[in-house]
Amino acid sequence: MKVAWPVLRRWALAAVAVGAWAWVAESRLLPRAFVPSPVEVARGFVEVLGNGLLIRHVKDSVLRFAACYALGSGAGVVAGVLMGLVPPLGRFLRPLVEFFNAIAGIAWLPLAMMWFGTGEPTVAFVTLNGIFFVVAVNTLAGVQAVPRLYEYGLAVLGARRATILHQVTLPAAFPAIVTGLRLAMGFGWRALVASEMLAASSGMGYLVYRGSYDFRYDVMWASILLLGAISLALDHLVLAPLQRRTVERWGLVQG
Amino acid sequence: MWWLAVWVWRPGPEILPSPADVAVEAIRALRGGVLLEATLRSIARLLFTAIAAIPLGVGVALAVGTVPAASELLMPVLRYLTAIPAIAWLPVFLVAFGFNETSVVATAAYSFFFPVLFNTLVGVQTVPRVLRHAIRTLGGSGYRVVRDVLLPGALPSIAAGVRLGFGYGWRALVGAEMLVAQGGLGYLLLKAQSVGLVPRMVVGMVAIGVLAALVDALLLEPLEEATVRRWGTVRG
Repeated sequence: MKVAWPVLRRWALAAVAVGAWAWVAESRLLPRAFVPSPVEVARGFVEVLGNGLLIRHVKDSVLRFAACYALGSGAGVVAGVLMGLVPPLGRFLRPLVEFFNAIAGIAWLPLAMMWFGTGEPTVAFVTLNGIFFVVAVNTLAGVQAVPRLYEYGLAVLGARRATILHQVTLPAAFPAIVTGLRLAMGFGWRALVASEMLAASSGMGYLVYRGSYDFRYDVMWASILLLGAISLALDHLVLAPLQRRTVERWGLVQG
Repeated sequence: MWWLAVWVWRPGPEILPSPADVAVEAIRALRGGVLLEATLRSIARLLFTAIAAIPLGVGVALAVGTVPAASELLMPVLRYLTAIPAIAWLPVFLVAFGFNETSVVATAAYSFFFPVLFNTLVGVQTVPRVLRHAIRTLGGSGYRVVRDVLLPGALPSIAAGVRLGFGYGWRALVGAEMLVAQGGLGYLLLKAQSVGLVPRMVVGMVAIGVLAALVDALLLEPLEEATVRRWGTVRG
């Protein structure tokens, strides 16, 4: 029975949270229309689930994100490593990459809307941007921080460049790369949702924004809560395995 | 490189303006006071955001970190809330607070708060328990434990959290400014977009980037370095 306690407590907590929410909704502290009760939100959820709206929007957001994340972080790692392997190039480009990292994401949205209009390319551009630069910056920093001595050590022993890259540079830079990948997850997903709100006609961001425009606050709340669940799921699917592998292999603990 | 791209590719000023166009526009925007006003507005908001988010994040982390029951109760809720992008809350804030400063700052503060909270928590939890118990044994109050042990011990983590929170908060701020349309750099960008003034958009983007880079390089990075050096801890 002892094992079941935490689980039980978690459910009890969820029940208390929902109860508090219901109480706030019923007490009319806030305008009723803006704070629908849990039952209404659940009903709204079932409605958009039933007519297929929800699944479409979730699918759009997740597929967009998956494509952007794979592409953006892959390109970011490659770019970061390449820049880092040619030290003069890395030193020259680093301030530039850092600068672009500082404006990455949502700040590009207006310009992207100019270039591509509203829709898929704009959302993809903004999201990719948010992912690529943070990964590239962190990878570059990681590669630059590898002590040259290790690389020389292997080179003296007659190792080829590819071996050095594989055996020394990449493993040593790995913690920094993982940091970049984690940050990219957060920044990229947020950039995606924000740009969907402003520049798309599908996706979770759009669903939230549309809900508030149509005065469908039940649908809006349901989408907000679902957004949290999707983010957590993405974290678990992508970051947790990554983290486990790195912690196991290199004995690192990331704060 | 930018110049070269414009020169070779000749995209026309409505697609990609040349650096000269942008410089001219920057001077014009500065003279007219638009850029300065928007920048100051964004900085003021950022300041309010920081004032709201940092003490709150640290405070909640101390509470959650020192009271096991609170941590067990609140952690799942907090983890879930972090996972929701702040910008999704904006519509809720808008109906609750209206189209005003409060909504913008609340959105940014939401993003800023959680990294501060979670980093402080890691800091508090990694302070050796022995030190806490030592103070208690010597008759120190709970307040003394927080002031003399937990806060100093967690400071490097707090600094790291503030730095990370700034990254999230600043992005959320710009996004919220675009949606709320009450001034600021995000609004400047969107307004320039609606009238097709691309050079001004680039000016706005550069301002956003420069501001973020400046805050990070001049304020947050030295802060983090200083705390790390002072307490001799290395961030994980």
